[in-house]
Amino acid sequence: MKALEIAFKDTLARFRDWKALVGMLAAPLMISALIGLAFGNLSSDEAPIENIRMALVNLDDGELGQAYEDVLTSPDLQSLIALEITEDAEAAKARIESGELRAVLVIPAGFSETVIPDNEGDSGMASVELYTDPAASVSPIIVKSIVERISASINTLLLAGQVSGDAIVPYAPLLGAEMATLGEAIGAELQSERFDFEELTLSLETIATGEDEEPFDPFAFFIPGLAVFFLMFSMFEGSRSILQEERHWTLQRLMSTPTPTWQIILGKMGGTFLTGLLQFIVLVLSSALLFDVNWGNSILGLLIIVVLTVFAASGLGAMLTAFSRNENQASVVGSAVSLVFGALGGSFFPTDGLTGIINIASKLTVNRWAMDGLLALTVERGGLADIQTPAVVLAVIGLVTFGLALMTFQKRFVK
Amino acid sequence: MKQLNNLLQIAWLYLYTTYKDRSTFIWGLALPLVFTTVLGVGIQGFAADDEPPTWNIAVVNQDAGPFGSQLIARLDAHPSLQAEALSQAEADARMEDGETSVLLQIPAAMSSNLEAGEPTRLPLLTRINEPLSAQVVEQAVLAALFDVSASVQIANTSLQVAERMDLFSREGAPSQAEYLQDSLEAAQTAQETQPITVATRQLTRLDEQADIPTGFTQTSPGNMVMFSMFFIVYGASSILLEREQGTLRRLLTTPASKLAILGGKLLGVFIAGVVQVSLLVIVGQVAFNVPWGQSPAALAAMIVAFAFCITSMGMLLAALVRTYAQIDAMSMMLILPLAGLGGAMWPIEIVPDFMQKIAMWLPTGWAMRGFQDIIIRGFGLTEVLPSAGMLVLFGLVFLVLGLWRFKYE
Repeated sequence: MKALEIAFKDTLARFRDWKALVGMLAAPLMISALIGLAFGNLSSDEAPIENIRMALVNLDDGELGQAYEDVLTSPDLQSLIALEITEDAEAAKARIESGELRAVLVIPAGFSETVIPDNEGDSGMASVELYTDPAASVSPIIVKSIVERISASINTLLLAGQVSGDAIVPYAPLLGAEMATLGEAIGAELQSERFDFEELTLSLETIATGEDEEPFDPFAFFIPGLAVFFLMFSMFEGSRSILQEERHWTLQRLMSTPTPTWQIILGKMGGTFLTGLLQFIVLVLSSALLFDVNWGNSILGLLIIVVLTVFAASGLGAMLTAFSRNENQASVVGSAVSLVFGALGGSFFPTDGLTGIINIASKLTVNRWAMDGLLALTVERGGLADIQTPAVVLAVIGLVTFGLALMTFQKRFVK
Repeated sequence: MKQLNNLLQIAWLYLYTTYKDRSTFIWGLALPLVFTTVLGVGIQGFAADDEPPTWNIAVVNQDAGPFGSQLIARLDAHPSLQAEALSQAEADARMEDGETSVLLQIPAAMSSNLEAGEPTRLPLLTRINEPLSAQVVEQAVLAALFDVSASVQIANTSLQVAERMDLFSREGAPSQAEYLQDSLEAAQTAQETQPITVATRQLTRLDEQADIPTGFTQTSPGNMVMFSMFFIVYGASSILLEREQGTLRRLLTTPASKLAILGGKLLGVFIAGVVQVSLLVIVGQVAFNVPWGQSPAALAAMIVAFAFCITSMGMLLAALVRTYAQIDAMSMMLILPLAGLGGAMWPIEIVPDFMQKIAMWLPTGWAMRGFQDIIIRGFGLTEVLPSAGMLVLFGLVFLVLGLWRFKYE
């Protein structure tokens, strides 16, 4: 069979070309390593965000300003917040602008005096000021929650005093002269061991679902994504070689041999397919070795999805090349489609959040179905039953595009 | 004067051939726009532009007492949360489908425990693949739990004070249960006006700080930086193509000096780079409402500095590789890591400390910083000068190295 011979020869030639190898293998592996460095902390048990740089400007002389300081420097928050204490609010705010700090908390002067009731039981309201970095999206929310919780604790203390007093006032006639000891009683109660405003009677037990599974592995998401993304590029590039051969007249020379044209075209397309298959398999194996990526429990399932993904991608590459007027046009269309499909099809971020027209567009890409199939195996540890839909869709895309490409090339070259 | 004329003509020639080619528009405009849109939506979902991110939380309430529903109301009132009470089966299904990533269970005994002063633990189930949102949601849920348990604590304190004063042994005094109930209601009313409030303010000089769509403030400058690098580096390295095709040698036989030839080429690439970045800025402003336009001077400084820096980088790359065919592979190996490490691919905030420090050693880190300072912090010319200055410095180093190593033959 001449087609097979041509396919093998083409595949070998591509794997001997170091520039092609950079695009096929080195680039995806390098970016994977980068992503691993950037997002590696998501996979550990530690909180993904830590050491939030924050400053406390405490202008209050009283005990409440001190309470904020005590909580923020407590051991519980030590890994989450890197706190510094300073006196110059404006300087601290300037350091948010220069990107050094994520948040600045200012306790105004006279804060304790305002909110703690005086001897007559009168008290006022006050605000602490929290300035956050607009360039950050997550850490300000965390800092705000913490500051609000400290404030809520102190509020509880203040309100407990206030409510205790208010509730007993209607019974003053019953208590008579005893009422004079009210302030003392409230003070004693608030300082008793029973009242600990740091201790919550309601607490959370955070459970990551599927505890027997392994924790989130950024590689298990990004490496399949990158593998599919770079596969698309090399499939378009491989398909283009047929136009290149036409330009160099080697294709015409091949056609003057007794080998039937359809065999030559099939061989060329088969070569691209084989190259893609090898590229993907090398990426699977090397990522498993280098980054310890777990490609799931179903080797057969993985093989099916990989073969069908490469089939669909090489079919699409061949079809768009067949429709292109010349090599240059094929190159522009190929790169554009690879990039757009990568972005839409979930090679860079999970498609879970997509809705409406973007979700529909996403489902029109090879990448989306390939990712659905691969993630069912790598992230969700599924089996054959979980990849049926993506497998069927990929097979249909492959058959249709391969068929159309074969027909179009035939028409183009048989004159 | 003659050489300057040559230089300008070569620059003009570059611009003419670049913009005659239709693929320029695909690479320069269409692709970055698709990426900006899709990734912007991907990062932020379709949330309204001026809303902070919110998370859905499913709540299964098995508590028949008053505090279960109170807790749900508190959760829903939190600006970062949207709480919905569901049956266990419904909630499980949503977790399974990924429609919600957090599930809070309120145990049957919560209200009675609260009244008895006994501790209760509430299971909070989070989906493992979204640790960031889980962290934020956990803090918000804790705040709501706190509010509810605080009202009980206040009421209990009030009861203890009355006991301390020996109220209940007196004639005409209410029962302890009555007194506790009254105190609880008083506590809930009192909680509506908290003595201490937290005034939170994003520190930006922009007038309308709520108008910043967070997804696009990352993807608009991010994709602009990344795609402009491809565009400009390819442009600068096209001089290699001229060397290989022999047109460079032909140019060298003309009276034009080497400096005029190379300078003209680079000037053309630089101008095309400025046009390219400016186009993406305009589209970012018009289509995605990214506030690019509030300080034209700062923006102009950043665009010019960035285009200069990357043009020089392209020149250096052209000097370091041997053939034009290598450019494809080399530029990918160079630009993608630069974009990723500099914060153009994802927000720099979410990477570890040492990675954030690495970004400050890269031109992309300074480019992202300068551009984001304009659109997020509302910086003017003086404030972005350090970022622009760093880019010019990088550019000068690249340019000197590039000119030194470049071989004309």
